[in-house]
Amino acid sequence: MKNYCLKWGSKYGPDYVNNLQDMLGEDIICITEDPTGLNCETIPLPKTSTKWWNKMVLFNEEFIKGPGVFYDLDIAIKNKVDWFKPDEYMKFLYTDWIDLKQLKDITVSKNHQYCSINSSIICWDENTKRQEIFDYYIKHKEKIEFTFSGIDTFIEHRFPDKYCLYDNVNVSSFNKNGTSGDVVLFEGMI
Amino acid sequence: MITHTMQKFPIPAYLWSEWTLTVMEKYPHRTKDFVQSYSQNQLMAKSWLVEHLKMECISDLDKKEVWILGSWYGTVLVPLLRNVLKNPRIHLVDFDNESLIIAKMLHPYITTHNIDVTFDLPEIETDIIINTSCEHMYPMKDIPMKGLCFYQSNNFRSDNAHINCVDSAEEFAAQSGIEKPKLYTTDFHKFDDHHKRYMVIGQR
Repeated sequence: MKNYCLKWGSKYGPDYVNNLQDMLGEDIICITEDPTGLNCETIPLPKTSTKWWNKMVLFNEEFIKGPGVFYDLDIAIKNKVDWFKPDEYMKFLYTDWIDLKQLKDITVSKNHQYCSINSSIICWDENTKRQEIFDYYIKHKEKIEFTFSGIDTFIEHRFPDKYCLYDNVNVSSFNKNGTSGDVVLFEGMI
Repeated sequence: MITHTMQKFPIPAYLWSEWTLTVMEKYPHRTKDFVQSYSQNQLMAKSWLVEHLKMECISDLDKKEVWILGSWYGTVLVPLLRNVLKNPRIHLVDFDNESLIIAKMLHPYITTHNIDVTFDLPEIETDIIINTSCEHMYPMKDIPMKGLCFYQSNNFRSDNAHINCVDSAEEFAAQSGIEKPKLYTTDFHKFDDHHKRYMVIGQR
């Protein structure tokens, strides 16, 4: 099993990758267009997408072949947890730090605004079915990027039966419930 | 008893009272959303469209097949269409299944299609195509369809769900897929602010 992260553009510098590797206490592979300053193995970022849509490369079984766990750069790992729990489909975090009932109520009939999954940490192995989602994304890329705010809403709404969720994990969102979790998500705040 | 005056209402207000009570009872989380579906802005937008539709189709108002894309509950449009067209066959299309379940409860004579217009709409060939929610979805020009089209959009960007607002009727026309559309613009107010609604009409 390998650990992965993804760095594109200039918002998150090499320190974020190096810190993530230190927090994990394990080697990480960074998928990036700019390996400058990174103290880890790197893979060139394909020019398939832009911005946060770059994360879709993780669904390309030809590109990322073996088992792995992916971590966003805007997270803090406080306690060591085994995040490698592969399943039939890509495994996402469930956003139970949000009042999902309230979110459901305020997004009634709002196109694709509701989202209960989060890809800040995701995992897979060689049996995880990822390619169908990647192929669909490539085929309808323009419409998808126009319609959805990110890959979480895209996958939840277009592939509602083709993702799995972590059970009993202690994740907190800095925005919603502070730093109480084993992992704290900053969700673009830093 | 339905009095003569009640019969003359283009939209039967007494039915809305019943419908709202039903929604409150069976789908309480939808009450606010449902009530908003017959707000002043909604009535204005839909009646504006239907007035133009009547002019466009005046020579033949009988047995038209009408597809309403992004239909929501069809609260206003369905009764207005049934008021101006004779024996219309109305199809509602929306990705939100619960709104269609309610729509079917309110208008049992319609056909509903729970699909996402942007991704899943099969190529339709019909008499009339209506989409008053173009600001919510991908440009219509890239979604294949054939028929007399009535599209509306607006420049109200404060709503997160409005992913495709436009700033002029000309800009809207360019993404409509209609070769020589008729263009219309009107004003509306929302949250004490002034906005514009655009309409394009034409054959595809």
